[in-house]
Amino acid sequence: MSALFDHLPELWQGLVVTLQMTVVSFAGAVVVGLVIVAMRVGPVPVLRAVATVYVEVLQNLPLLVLLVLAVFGLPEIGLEAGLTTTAVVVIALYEGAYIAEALRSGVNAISAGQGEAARALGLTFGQSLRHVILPQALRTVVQPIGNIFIALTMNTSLAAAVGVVELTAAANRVNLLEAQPIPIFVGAGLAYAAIAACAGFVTGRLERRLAVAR
Amino acid sequence: MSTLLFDEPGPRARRRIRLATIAGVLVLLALLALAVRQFAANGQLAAERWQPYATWPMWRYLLGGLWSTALAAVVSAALAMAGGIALALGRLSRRRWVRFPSAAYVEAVRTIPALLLVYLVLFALPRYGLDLPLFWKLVVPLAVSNAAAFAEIFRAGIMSVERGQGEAALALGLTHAQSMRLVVLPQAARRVLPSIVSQSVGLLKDTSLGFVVSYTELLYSGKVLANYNGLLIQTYIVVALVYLVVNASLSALARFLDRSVAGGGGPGRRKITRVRR
Amino acid sequence: MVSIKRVAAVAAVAMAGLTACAGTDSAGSAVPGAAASDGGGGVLAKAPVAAAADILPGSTMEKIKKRGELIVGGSLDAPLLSQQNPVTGEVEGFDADLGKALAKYIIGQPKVKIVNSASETREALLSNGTVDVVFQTYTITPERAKQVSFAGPYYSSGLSIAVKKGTTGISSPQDLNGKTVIAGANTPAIPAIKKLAPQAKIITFGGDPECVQALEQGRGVAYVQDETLLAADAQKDPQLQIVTQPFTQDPYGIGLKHGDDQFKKFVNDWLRKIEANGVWQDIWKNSLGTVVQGEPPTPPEIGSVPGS
Repeated sequence: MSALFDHLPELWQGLVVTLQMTVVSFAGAVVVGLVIVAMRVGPVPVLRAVATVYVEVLQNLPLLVLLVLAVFGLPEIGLEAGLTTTAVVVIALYEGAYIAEALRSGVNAISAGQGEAARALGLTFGQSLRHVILPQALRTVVQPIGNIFIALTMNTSLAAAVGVVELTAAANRVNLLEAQPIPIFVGAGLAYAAIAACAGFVTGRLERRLAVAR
Repeated sequence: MSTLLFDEPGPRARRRIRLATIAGVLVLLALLALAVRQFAANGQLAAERWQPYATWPMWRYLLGGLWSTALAAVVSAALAMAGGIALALGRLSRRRWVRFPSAAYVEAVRTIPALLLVYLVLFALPRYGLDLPLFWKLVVPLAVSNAAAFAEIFRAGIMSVERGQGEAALALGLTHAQSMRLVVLPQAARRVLPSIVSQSVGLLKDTSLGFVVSYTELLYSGKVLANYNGLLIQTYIVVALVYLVVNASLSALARFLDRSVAGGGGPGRRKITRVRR
Repeated sequence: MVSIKRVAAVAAVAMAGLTACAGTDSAGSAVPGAAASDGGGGVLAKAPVAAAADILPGSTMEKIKKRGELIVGGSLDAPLLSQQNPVTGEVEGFDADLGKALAKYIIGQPKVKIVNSASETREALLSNGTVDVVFQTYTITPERAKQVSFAGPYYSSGLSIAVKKGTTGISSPQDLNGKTVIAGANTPAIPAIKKLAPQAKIITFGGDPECVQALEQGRGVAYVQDETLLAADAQKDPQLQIVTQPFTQDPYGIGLKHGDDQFKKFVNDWLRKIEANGVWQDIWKNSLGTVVQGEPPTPPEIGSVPGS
């Protein structure tokens, strides 16, 4: 156990990085998801096609492959950013595809009358999306989006492979020094589980608050 | 649904859309050309950097990795689905002593990274005398964690079946178990088939955790190749394409099943999103 | 309804078939073709075979001999040391060949199965008996020696620094202070840099090609890695330049199950024999010697470091 406590500062630093990455990339993913879903249900055929291809490609590639390609491939086409920045952007784009899919299923779950009513009131496409459809869609997808948040937290650990020292990488380094895998990895795992548990708690509360009696 | 949100564009709107489309596509193409030029200027398109991937041994090696990936994915998916059905039924059971542990399992496992489960099977279990063969060191944690996800999918499916179906079955004199097995579950399975396939795609991607337990699946095979030939970017592009082709085919299968098996959605059908990757 | 049943039936059959395959192929991660196929030719021709009397009854050696295969914890992706050749399926390099030589000593044939292990898993693989020995640039340290036994050291290596050609101002580890330094994840480079250049910022990548690429793209100014690996990289890539002599001493040991003193003595005896009859040197020439100039170094004295 001492292996864990002797290195608490490094592990804490790693946890902070993990939390920062989680928050920033989740915010990014929500924005990406909203844009993509708006494109997917919108009137412009090309945008619909682009959004479909986007979701299809990003959902079908392992995140690790995307991370390595972005970190080492993008500088070769003249786009270079810091490691953490690149990782955050890639995770946001990747999870954005999942959020878009979750939102789309939420939009699909809304009864058609809502869209017709919004149109009948003279709202434009953007207005009916913003004021009528998305707020209701969000309500039905709180749980799936909470799950995406949890998955995103776990996925930030893959950034370790491209040089970001987050919690998993920090744990790895400590283990390299101490060769005490069980306390170190279980400790790190508990930290992830705690983040996920918080997310689960928040989504549970949100869902109950937003629930509409049907 | 989506078409209800906007009018069919009129002639002027159509022309505007067409112009914007052409402009957008041109800008994208220009950016793409610029990127490719830069990529080539850095020597990444040089023929000798791609030539190894025109040879059979490299592909034989990668396809061997893909086979291992498929094997691990199929076995863990089968186990996870069986576990998922059991857990879903458990969670919907009327007996509290069945319902509570099932719910606890699903909620707890959902918050633990699969990587941690892999580490536990790898490090902790052997200390208690349970040392699994390598293949199972990857499959067991994947099955354990995906069982929770499948349980949620099945539960959503069962709950989406109208209560009347179960009630009608009971009214016909079927027992509770019979009505589940003969009436509710078949309908539920049909409705969640697309979610099951997409969850399986996620599981297939998760097998890349095999590199931790030293299982040479597709991604790890790519890493070995990159070390052998030093062609990092090219190797990962090829690996990415293989994943894309395989997973996109599976997703296409999911859509096909959605249309042909689920019959395009009858009345009262609700779309169910995937629960987790 | 009929079509669903058919689909389900087909899926069930397919799954049953695949599961059955998985059953027969439960050693799924065993590398196909990793077992030596050259029948002891090449560098292993001169490698000795233990006298029957040395294979003590009830010992680990006897168990391995009965099995007919030595299970080695190693890598598939360490060029010059233990790298799988995708064309032949063979695992090649200094560590890999020593493993084959040890297998020949025990069994009479260089039959090995390489279990690809990560640095996090080596101790566990040894202690639960998944592997017999570990040949994987396994640096002997007193901390590790509490969990595993080490035979050897069989090789002494050191860390060196490479930079992109034209970089100035780095000629010793201390010069790394305040700079961004690239290192392989889970390599001894990380603690070494922390000790010698505490103000350096370390970024790590999973593998050697990633590190080289990162250096070329300017993600860091220097790359700290084992001297032999750097030599191999510099040979492949003219942009790389090695700027220091090795500045650490990393004695590599052969990892064995903790407390198996009988096996440890046996492996050390074998090591003495191959160092004396030139097999060790031949293996070096055939692997590391292809990128390092000069004659093979003198092997380190067995048992000379704390923990061995």
